[in-house]
Amino acid sequence: MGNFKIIGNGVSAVRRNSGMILWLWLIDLVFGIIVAAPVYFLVNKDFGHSPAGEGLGRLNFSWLGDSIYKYQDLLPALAGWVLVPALLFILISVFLNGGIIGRLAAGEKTTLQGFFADCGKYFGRFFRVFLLSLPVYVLVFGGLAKLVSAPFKFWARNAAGEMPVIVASNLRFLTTILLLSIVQMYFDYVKIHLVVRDGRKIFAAAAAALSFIGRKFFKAWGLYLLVGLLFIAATAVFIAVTNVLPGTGVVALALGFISAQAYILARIWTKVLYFAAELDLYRIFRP
Amino acid sequence: MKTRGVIFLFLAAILYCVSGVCLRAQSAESREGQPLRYEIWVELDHAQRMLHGREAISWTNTSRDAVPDMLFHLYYNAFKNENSTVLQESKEESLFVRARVKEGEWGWVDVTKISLEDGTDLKPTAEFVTRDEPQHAGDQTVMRVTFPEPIAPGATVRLRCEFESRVPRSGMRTGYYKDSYFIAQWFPKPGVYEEGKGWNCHEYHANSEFFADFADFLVHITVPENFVVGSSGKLEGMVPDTVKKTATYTYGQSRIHDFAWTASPEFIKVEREFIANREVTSQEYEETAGRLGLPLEEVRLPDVKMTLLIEKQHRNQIDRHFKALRMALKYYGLWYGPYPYETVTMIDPPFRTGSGGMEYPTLFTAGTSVLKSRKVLSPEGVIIHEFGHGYWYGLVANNEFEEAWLDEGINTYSTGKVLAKAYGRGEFGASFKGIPLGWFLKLPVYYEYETDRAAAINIAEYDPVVTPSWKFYNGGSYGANVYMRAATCLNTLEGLLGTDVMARVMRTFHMRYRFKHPVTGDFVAIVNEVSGQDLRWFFDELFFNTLNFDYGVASLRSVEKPVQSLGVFDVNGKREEMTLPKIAELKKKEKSARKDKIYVTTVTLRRFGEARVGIGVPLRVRVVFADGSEEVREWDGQGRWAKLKFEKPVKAKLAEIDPDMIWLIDSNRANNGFRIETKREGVFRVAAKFLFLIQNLLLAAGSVS
Repeated sequence: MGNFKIIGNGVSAVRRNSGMILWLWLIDLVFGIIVAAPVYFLVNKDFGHSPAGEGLGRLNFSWLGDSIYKYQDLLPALAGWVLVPALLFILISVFLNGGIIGRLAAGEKTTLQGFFADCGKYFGRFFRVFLLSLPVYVLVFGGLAKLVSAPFKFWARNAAGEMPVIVASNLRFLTTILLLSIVQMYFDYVKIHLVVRDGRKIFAAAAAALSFIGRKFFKAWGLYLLVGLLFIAATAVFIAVTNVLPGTGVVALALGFISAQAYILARIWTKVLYFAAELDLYRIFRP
Repeated sequence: MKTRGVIFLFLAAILYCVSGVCLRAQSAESREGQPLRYEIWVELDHAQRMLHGREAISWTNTSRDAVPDMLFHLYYNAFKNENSTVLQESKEESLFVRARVKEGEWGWVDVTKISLEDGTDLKPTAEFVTRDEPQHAGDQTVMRVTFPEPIAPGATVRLRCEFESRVPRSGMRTGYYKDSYFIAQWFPKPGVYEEGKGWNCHEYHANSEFFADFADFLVHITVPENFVVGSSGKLEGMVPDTVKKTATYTYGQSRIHDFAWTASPEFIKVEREFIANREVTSQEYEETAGRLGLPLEEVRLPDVKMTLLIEKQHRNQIDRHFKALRMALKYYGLWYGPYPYETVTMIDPPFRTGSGGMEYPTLFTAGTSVLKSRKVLSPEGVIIHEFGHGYWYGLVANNEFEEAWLDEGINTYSTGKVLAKAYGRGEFGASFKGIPLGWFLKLPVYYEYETDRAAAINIAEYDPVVTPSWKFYNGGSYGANVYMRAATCLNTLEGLLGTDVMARVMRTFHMRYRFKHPVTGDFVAIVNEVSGQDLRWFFDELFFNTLNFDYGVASLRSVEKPVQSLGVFDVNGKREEMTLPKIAELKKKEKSARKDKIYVTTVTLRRFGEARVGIGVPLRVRVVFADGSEEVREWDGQGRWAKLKFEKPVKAKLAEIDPDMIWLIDSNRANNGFRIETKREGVFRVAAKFLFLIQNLLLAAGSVS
């Protein structure tokens, strides 16, 4: 079966579980609101009664300069305030991934109860997979990415003009992204293996996923990158829409908010599609 | 015999007088900028990265001091070792990374011979001196030689000097990469002698540019024959040597105070003319003359030969470069004074030579990249800015070590005005991995003064604008203070004085101090003279101090005026007590009589910052009421706060201090206005964008799960 067909199946599976997308979006939104709320109150206090507040939002160096001056001492606290929830959200995502893959694997219409039951069922296993992934990320980005992109760096170092430097810089970035995609894909299959085989042994799952990817690397990676292209396409559409939205007025505000949330939904949809397509591929070619 | 003696004495007297007159004339002329002459022969040894140079220096002592010595800048020694002042300072700011320096990449200059014209060897007297505090004892960028006898007032000393320089791989503003060279601060250059004070000759500092005396230069540059050369001054000839396969270019220029050149086989050389009558309309001349209060002839511009040396990789930007230079020649010329030289050479800096965005007399380096958005005003901004330095540092040659703002700040102010006039707003030039983001995203557009202000308000409390360049808190404070804060203060001054008066201030300052070395006090005196006001307070508050300027409206309240106060009152000889029920009754009667309510509006103004406006220069306060009516009052701004009260039949809607936005330097414009009604659209927009950012961040974080 071709990758496009697999993606088609994945899209159907996601459509059957569209309720799950909304829950995931709601969780992301609520969490985001909790983090963003202090900023709202802070800005409202300083700009709510000010005519300068009307220009807020459209990037403008007048209010931006004022804000840097006012809030520069708050920046470390703000960074902490964002970082801690971000770390917490990693754990929440570990929890939610169980629900996503579990429900997709079950092939049934998703219910809230079933979704959270799977979240709980797989959390322990997925958390261990997450712990296992950490040293791999460190290894890949601490050494492998640098090693693989070293020829580009060498080429740039001796360049006679700018273009090779720009090309090399972009190739290094692309290399890093592609490496990241391989690592993420690999751990997706580890999780899928655990769900499909209802296994509990993480290292066995890791070995099985490695074996699977070893056999079907280009098929699997091609599928991963194709879904990635959908994400890039969604991003391009969002940017194009944002560029034509009007700058001021309540309607513009509403349209801006709706398009931003549509983009978030598209990101979540892509994430679920990754799992759905990978699950399909795994089932077709599993040993 | 006696008769012959009388005749001799008479002739001697005449000669004495004539010589005295000549001497005085020479002194006067020298003070105008020509006490110094150079003739330099330099050969570039491409294989060894060396410069072999000879130099003839003629210096006239225009002071009333007998001068015993001479101090020279030997700036290539800044790149000799880690003990130089510039590298010590760079290390303190973590700008110098040892690991990046490779073997053989250091640069230096050795003065191999130095003597008087008569052959008296001065080399034994030569010593390195470090006079700037804090001391960096290992620095070798300033050399002193002592004369056998002091140079008398009016006398001229002629020196012969030979030097060998190793070009640094890529130093600050000078260096080489592959076959390309940018050569600046390369020859032994005397400091500036200041009467009663001695030589003003600072070390090469990390956060400073330069200071030198006006001079006549004649420079012969020998390079490999395939190299394209660009240089300060006017090309006077080229002699090829077919045996050595070299070419010697001779450049000459009077009344400049530095000399830089570049050579590379990678350059494309393009020459065009700035033809004033094509660039400036008669209406523009008339408007300028009218605004400046000058005769038409004084604002007319000369034609100028423009030369561009551009790297082949940027050849598609040739027209952009020339257009920007034409705009700069036009507006700097119209506003500040005609360009006084025949040539201007614009260099697209050779790749990786560390020489971009720098000015030298009649020559400057721009800077661009292969991928450029047309909406971003770069390289236009850097071209206009670096050319503009030719007007301030180049002609109104202040001491950049001691008062850098007089060049950098005034020129940043000038650049912003030229860019706005010639191009309007430019797009924010963000890029990712060399790719302009403006190709994909709608980025903000802005005037230069807006970004200048954003930097300026965040730096006020670190250093005064007028601070010696190497004594700023760090490079960020130096840059933001002398460029952006000074420019923002000048824009504020323009708001205070009005556009026309400010234009006359700038023109007067420029023309009066052309070919001189003014100080901040000279600028302040011109401001006072032209404006007819005493504005010393403005400079005291904003240039000589670290005072934050922030006035604002702290609160605005409109409350209904009570028809009657509570309490006991003497009415017609009787004592009457007003109670709340009685007042309510009164109110009801008034309502039935359809009398308008009266509201008492209280505006509380505050001076949040330490800086104050001058006495007699009040701040305007505008209050807008619900019926659209407005009231404008003034506050002297001397106290920490003030309350203004208004009684009107309507409530207030809005109160604003400085509604005309004169005080651009105000660090918090958000508190300048207070609206009773809360409008949250902008706040929601910011919050929604922040929320979107956080949601994406959370999803990105979750993707590693």
